[in-house]
Amino acid sequence: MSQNATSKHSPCTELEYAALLAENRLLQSKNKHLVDYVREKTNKLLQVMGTIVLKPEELDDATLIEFDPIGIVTESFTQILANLRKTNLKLQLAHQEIQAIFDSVGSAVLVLDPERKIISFNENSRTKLFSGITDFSGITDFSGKSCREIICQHRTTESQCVHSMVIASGHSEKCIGWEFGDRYYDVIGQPIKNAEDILTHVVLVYNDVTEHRRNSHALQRALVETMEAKDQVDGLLKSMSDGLIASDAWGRVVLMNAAAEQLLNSNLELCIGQSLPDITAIPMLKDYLEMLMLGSADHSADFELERSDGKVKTYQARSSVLLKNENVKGYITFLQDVSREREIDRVKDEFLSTAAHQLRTPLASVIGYSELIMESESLTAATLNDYISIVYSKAEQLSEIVNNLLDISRIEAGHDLMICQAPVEVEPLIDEALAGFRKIGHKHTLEVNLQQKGVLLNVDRFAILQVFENLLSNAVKYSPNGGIIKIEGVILDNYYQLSIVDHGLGMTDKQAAQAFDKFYRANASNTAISGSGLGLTIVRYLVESHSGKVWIEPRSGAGITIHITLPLCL
Amino acid sequence: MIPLDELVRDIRGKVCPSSLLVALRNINENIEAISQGKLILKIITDSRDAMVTIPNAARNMGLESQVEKLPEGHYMLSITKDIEV
Repeated sequence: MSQNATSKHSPCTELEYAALLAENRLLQSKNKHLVDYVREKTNKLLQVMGTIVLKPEELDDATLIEFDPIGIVTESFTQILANLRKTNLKLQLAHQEIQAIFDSVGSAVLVLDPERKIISFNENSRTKLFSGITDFSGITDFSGKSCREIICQHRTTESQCVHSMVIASGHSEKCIGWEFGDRYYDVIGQPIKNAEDILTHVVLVYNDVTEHRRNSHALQRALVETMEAKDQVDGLLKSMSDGLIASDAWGRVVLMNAAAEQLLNSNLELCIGQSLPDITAIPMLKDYLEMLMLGSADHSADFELERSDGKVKTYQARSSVLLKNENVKGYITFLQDVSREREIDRVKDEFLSTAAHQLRTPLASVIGYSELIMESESLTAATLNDYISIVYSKAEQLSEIVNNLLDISRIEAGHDLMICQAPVEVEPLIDEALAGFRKIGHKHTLEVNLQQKGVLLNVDRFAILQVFENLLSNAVKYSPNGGIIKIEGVILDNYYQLSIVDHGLGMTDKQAAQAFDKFYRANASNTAISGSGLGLTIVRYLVESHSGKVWIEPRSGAGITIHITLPLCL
Repeated sequence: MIPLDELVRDIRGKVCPSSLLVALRNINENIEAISQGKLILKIITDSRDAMVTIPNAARNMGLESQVEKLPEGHYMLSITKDIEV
């Protein structure tokens, strides 16, 4: 305001005016100080808030005072401080939580600085890592010590040191199965970085994996043993000639061996999970398996199956129930080829039946003629003699049958007949056999033609005598009309071949092939010719016991020739 | 979920630090409602600096802020209650 203007409108004296001017200047100066102070403090607060300073042109002094930025920022700071207090509380809680975890965690935990100095450690570090250190016994606080001196004691190389690895990489690192004393640890190193991303600490966590490692090794061993056992079981199953099917408690197939696959013409892949009765179309087997599922199956069942080669085989299905705590856990079903057993049963039955039949005929004669002798008082001496001769003859026949049956029984049972081989001259042996026939065989002409004289056989004398007698007996019996019976002998290579040639009823080729079977009689319909059907079976066994052979050469309608080979005494 | 009240403040034309001070004054005036989760303070600004300074200040005060670019080319800052972790 100018002086002239003041003197024009104010009645004040010059002095008063001067005083007012001075007061005005003072007030203005104070006001400027105040505004500057506000600006300075506001700017400082704004800088703390992270923004730029207030420019005078942005807010003039009057607006600045009215806007009250200090008030605004101060109030915000109040809120910021409250938030900081809240955050601090949270941090404090978090710190306590971390400390609790740090102390209670099962692993040993070390916090190290970049120079490997121990900053802190938990209780497990003391018990697991520090307790065995004798050099530092008595020391309770390991803070500030180097982990390399205390724990590793310079035994761990730089490349194995997890701390070094973390320092080098700046990332998490680990060492698996680090050996310390008699224990093993997985060591995990974790870097801790500050706000500037500079690594300030390394946390090392030592997880004791000793038990895990031992269990793992034990498990591995058990696994290997299990695999070996499985291989053995697999091998066993594969090598089993019997079929085997394993099923669960509900009868669903879980396992099947190769033999069962072949029998059922299927495979495990197709059958797995299927119900037992559904895996076969063989009626008797299907019925058995259905009954098994119903719990009412017999112990076993036979079924017949035609093989790919056309042969019909008899199989037996039998099952075992797997129980655990009296509960059914599954079934094991075996399919066994019982063709041979069934054949043996059949032959045994047939043998008994035939033997009984063979014995009954001569026995009936013995009983019949004995009764006649006992009951008839008026028999002439000649008739009585005839009857007694018949009884004697039939008794001899019975004796022969019984002897043959006993021989066959021993052979069938696998009990070898005693064969004692020794040098035996062939010609006297034949003469001995022929002696009996020369007495009774008045209708037959017996000719012996041996190419070499004085030949020694390496045979059991009594066994081969039995062979000769059997063969000569057959030749005589089956030549009912008499005729020439030739006995020919010749040395061939390193054995002796003896041939008995008759001119009797003869045989067909088929009959010749079956002639050595038990109870086989080529002319069974001819009841006039007695015989057990066992003689040639015994002959074959005795000859084969000397490593020899026997065979029949039929001459249709003109008798037969039986050849045998016997070992020479070399 | 209860719908929140919204308070929209358009401070376009203001630059820092004025934009920050205006934002702080609005936050201070409504701090209780915002902290309780009853109010969202929406600040429309065209100052890029404010995109940094206002969210920083809000975070220090324990609040959450989200920035959304509007089709007109300016920004909308939503100041809300902090999400507790």
